[in-house]
Amino acid sequence: MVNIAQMRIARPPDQLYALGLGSCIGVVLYDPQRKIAGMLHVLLPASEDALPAGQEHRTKFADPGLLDLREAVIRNGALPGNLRAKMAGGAEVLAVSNGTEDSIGRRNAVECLRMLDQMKIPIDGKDLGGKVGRSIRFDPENNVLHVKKIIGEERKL
Amino acid sequence: MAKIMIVDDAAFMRITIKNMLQKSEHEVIGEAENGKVAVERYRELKPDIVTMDITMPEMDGLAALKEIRKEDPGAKVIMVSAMGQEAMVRDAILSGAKGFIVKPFKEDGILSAISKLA
Amino acid sequence: MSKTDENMDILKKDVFREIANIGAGHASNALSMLLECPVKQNIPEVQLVHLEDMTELLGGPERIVVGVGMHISGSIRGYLLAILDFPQAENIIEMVRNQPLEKAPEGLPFSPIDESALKESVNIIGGSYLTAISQMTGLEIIPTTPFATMEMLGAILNLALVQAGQESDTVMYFKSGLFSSEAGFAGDLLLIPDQQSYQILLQSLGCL
Repeated sequence: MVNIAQMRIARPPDQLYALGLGSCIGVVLYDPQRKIAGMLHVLLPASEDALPAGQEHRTKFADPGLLDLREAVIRNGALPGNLRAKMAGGAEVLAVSNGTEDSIGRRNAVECLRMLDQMKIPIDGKDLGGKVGRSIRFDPENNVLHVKKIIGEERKL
Repeated sequence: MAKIMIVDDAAFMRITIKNMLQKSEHEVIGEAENGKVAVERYRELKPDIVTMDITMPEMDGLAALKEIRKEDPGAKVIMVSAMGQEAMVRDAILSGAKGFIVKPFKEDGILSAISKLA
Repeated sequence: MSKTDENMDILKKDVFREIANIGAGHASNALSMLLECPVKQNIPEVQLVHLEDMTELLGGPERIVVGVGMHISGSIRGYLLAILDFPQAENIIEMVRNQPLEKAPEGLPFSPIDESALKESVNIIGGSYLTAISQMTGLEIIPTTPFATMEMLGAILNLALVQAGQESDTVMYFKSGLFSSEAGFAGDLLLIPDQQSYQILLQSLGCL
């Protein structure tokens, strides 16, 4: 289980889960050949978005958390050149009026995409945005990302 | 027999107040779901009395009260709000509100407030 | 369980519990007027936990709940949320409207008027809670119009956790349970102020 601001690595038969994603994004980096995967549960786009007291925990952020995720999967045996990504989340679940909320789900998505682009990791599947929360499950055996919402069918990426 | 305009962003509250008033001798001539619409409708409809919620999107009730009173210094507005903080009540009364009712309220609470002004 | 809990000064925790108590006391009065039957509150819980633990403590991130709440600003900032199981939300709506629920549109949990009744009920309960705190502390508190959704708990708490996460790796919340055996109702009211607000609350009561 990958909770907020956590990062986990898995090999078959273990799977990676992130539940109740609202504006948060679950990002998976995986090596399909070596069957190693890591998931990061992103809360905020970048550490500059936090006050100094909140910046220590790198894995809260897409930047620099995704760098740490990449490093972690490689350390566990993935080949940099093999790495691919899948991700889901970044929804605006609550319509807060008079909100100072600056569409954090969208900003998380933009930042994740930017980081992956910067790290030159191709994205094989994504399910971002919308107004509905998601729970996701990644299976390193077949590299499928299962995305479940409160209504409707489960989607496979 | 007064002509009343009900202002509240919650449809449910507008219906509730309207139902209470329908049993009285007063007539509900219009509604508004936020302060901005309230100011516009006030101009069109010229109600005798307005019930005004405070917490609303677009323009809140205190701002709408001030706008309405600016255009019509004789306007009779009763604030009806879930927030009863002293500072808010004071601000409303100083800005010309003729009454302040805190939710939840009983039917006779609002009816007597209106009757006093009618 | 989180170790940070032990770090919170016992005295401060007591002050916060008292704040939550008074808020919830007024909230339960308001709710009992709305439901026309007695409503009680249980002892408030004040917790300081790590960001990743919060949803677990409230039933798990996938728990499907009806979340109705508001963003608050003014002298203190944060969120006030009512967390209800769907049947409880239905209960409140029925009792407040004095009629059974209407048919909801496709894909939505409630009809527009039913949802408005629910949001307004939480507006009133929340308003009483916040007004009580405001009187107690002398602080100005400004809520927004309430939002409502039926969703996974994790998704609902996200915004509050984003707020907390911007300042630290922990989040503090005040939780009060309101319940009525006559009405068969039970729900939680959560106040999640931001970090600065804690200091402000303590200062206003002369505790710093």
